[in-house]
Amino acid sequence: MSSTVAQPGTDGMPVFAEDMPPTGTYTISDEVAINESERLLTLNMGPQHPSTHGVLRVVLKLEGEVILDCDPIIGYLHRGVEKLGESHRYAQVVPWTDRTDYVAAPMNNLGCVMAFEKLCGVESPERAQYWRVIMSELSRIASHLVWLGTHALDIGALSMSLYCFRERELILDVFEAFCGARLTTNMMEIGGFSRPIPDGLIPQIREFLRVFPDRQKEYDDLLTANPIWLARTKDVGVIPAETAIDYSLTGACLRGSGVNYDIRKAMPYLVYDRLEFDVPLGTKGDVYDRYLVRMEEMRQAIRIITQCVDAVERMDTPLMAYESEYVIPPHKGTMTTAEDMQRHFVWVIKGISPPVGEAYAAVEHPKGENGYYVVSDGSSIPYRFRVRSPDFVNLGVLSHLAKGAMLADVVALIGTIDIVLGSVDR
Amino acid sequence: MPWEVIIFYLIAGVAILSAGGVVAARNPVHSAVLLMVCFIQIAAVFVMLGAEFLAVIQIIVYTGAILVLLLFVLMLVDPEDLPEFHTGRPVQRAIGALLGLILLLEVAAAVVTRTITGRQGSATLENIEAVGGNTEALGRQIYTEHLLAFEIVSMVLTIGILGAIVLAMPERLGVSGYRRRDTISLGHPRGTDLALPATAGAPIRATAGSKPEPAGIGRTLVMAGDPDEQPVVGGGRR
Amino acid sequence: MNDQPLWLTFIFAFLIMNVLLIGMAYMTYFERKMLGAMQDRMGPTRTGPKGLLQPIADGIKLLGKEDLIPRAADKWVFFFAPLIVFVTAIVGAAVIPFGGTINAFGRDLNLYITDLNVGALFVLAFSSIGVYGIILGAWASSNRYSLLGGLRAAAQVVSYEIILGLSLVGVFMLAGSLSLRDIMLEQQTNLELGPLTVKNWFILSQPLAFILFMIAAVAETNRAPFDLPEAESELVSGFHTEYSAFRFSFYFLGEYISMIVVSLFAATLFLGGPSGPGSSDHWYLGILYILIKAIVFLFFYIWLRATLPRFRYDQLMGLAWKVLLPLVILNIVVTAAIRLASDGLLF
Repeated sequence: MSSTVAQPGTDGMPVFAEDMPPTGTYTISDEVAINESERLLTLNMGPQHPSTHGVLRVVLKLEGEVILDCDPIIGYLHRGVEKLGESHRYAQVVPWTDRTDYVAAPMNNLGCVMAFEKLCGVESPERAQYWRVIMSELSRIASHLVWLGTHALDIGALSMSLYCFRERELILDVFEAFCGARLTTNMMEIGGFSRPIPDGLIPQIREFLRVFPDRQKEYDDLLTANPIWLARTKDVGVIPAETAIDYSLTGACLRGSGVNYDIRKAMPYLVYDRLEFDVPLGTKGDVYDRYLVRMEEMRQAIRIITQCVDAVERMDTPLMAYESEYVIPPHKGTMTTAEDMQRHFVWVIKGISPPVGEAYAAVEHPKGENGYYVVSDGSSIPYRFRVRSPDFVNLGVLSHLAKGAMLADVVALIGTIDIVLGSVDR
Repeated sequence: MPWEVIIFYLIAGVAILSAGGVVAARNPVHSAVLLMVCFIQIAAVFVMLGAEFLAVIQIIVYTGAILVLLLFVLMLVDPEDLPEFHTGRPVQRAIGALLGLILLLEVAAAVVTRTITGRQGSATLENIEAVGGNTEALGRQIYTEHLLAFEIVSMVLTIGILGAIVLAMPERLGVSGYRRRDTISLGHPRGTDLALPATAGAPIRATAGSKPEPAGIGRTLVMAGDPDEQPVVGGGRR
Repeated sequence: MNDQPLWLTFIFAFLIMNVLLIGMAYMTYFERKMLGAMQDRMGPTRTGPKGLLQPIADGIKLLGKEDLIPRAADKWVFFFAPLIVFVTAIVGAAVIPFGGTINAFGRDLNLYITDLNVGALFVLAFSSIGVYGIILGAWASSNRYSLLGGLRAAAQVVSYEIILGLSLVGVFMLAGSLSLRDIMLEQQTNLELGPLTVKNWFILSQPLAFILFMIAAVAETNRAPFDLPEAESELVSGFHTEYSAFRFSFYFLGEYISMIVVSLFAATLFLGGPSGPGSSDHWYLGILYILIKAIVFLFFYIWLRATLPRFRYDQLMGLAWKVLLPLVILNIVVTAAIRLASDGLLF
């Protein structure tokens, strides 16, 4: 490098981390204590560690088994989804959202697609909205099952993970029948669904709805009143309601503390305002409350899906808002009519160009508020694409919770926040 | 008979070598390992003397408990942090040598007096057989003839335990206690200072201050059907 | 009694050792099959018929693996530690009686290796040495996860050893002996329970001690839900994180053999050892019975592992010192009082 390099802080050069005052997570009194004590053990958990749910790295300062300082370090799975979203055409952005929270991919698609639809002024047909609810609630159950399995495995209940993944298979089978993919589904499209609903999907979902409550009772039997489970989760990781709001937590982390905020109720999207369901709220805000809340959310999801399946069974309306210019033309028309073929050609080659503006859409993801903010400058790629991933925000409370906890609690706390590093790092 | 002698010398040799190693080893953990070897050799000598009970207790108490706790401490000490571990401290070294010499003289005196007088103690093979074995003999000795000494030793050990507990109380350690108050103390049933302030009028559950709830679910969820519903629950409100 | 030639004892000891090693190998198979059945899956199926050769394949694999020694490790201790675990685990079997003295092949044969008059304490003593393997291995690895695992092991084993030892005191009082052979013989006498005549198994007269013994034995062998020293979720295998290849397999062997030995020990102490219908006439039935009883305990271990979450360190210690220790002392006091009262010495 030559001498033309500007000094940090001048001429628009970024200020590098070492020039800034240390902004750690500990308070001054902790710092005094940490500096005064010579018996501390620094333990580096991760990024390769079986219980940090991916590549989270947590640097712990321990006194014996008690944690005095906890510093979560993220970024090991950063793929730049937001930047990728700013260099791909609108329809091409949707598959990237699968890769953020890969255990609940349909939900990510939904949020992204809803933001694009808002931008374009497209509204998907009623039947498609019901199907979107079905798929997002199924993915909520799938995500909660992964959470339950890994959380229980972290706390030592070996068999739970296998039971949970057994039931998750059924959901993934539904996804596979619906869209051909199991994990990265790329299920939602701008305007609805362009492909027909396969025959036999509704009976398959009904079979799942029949089987799952009994299976969930098995989980209840194994864990809910298990004294060791209670000892490990009750009064551990207490988040008071005020702290939860201060850390802007969402999802079960917020509702476990008793704050009634669920986007499905507070700002209903799709057809949630027509469906009957309750939002479970915890009373204490500890790990056990969040466990109960998530377990109840699965039951409510079953309730929602049942209503939706009942509704869509009788419907024969279109699945796609074909009247809009921003929507991919119908497959049949592409094959037969010249206009549709041209439109399809332009849609694929050039992509859609929404009007200049900005839009934010948020869905109640299994982990919290999953928001997508998109700015259009009128071109066929987004000017700005921003993902508000719930677990990135929720993870912020970890160091607050971990201080003073025991070493074994850290894995319980990471589990209870329910992070997926793909979503945290994006 | 010669076999027993050979085995005895083998055991004794290893015991003396390992005892020497305890002193000579530069790493405290190595010293502890060698001490363990020495203890086991002594237990073996007890077995050869027909005192199996003593041998087993030697292993359980000294090797299995005391030395483990010693290791517990030694493992956390970096030998590099002990600059004066092998050098310096002339006073301690002198006192140590003196104490060792006194101990050696005591043992020697005991052995020599027995050899000179030729008097045997009451623990002869015949006497032991008469009460049914060395375990029984030891039990009878301790709980009849030496009961007072035994009880006094028990009291001394109890005092030692109490002292250790008092010393280890975190609240007595100033900085440490201060630190613990400031953390979300999940290991403590009290919880945290931030967690559950007794806000006026809020029906905070009994779990907030006292001990954990009894086993069983013991907790219900609030089912909110309405987004404006704000149930009053544990934790502060804005 | 102890009058058989030494070489016969050596042959019997050799047999027991090999049976234990093979039993350990198939214990892993049994565990994997049982866990598979409990978790809705198959367990090993590919190697040999029904996966029966899987343990052997695993052994060969472990032999063929590269033996890594971390550069910062204390090589001498690192080498020595797994051997302690393995040897002490296997030595415990020396005092387990598989039956009395039998007449076979024209000779009087003892179905036990040795009859120490402190046999029960002998098993405890060697299991207490076994913890050195864990602590020293953990320290020698110079890995912080291992160190924490070693610290947990030290505290856990010292605490639960007290429970384990004291839970047996009631049995010793009733049997009037510390010798496992005497305890076994005592349990072959009959006990009148009203109209019922049953064998005097100590599980009937010492049920509390039996439960406490089982809890402490699970903790002593570092099995779930007390597997804190090797808690894979937070400590990444704890004390044997750095061990690989055959050194690791010594830990593995040691853990499973100590499970088998503790199961045999429990069967001898509380379930009458080889006693059962027809065992007094046919010695091989006695051996079968003790093995079946041990397998019941081993199944119990596996069942616990498949079902229960893991304790936290402070809860584990709290359980030992605040719950189990008072109970075990209560058991001793009550047993002693009853024993004295039955001898007419109390009142």
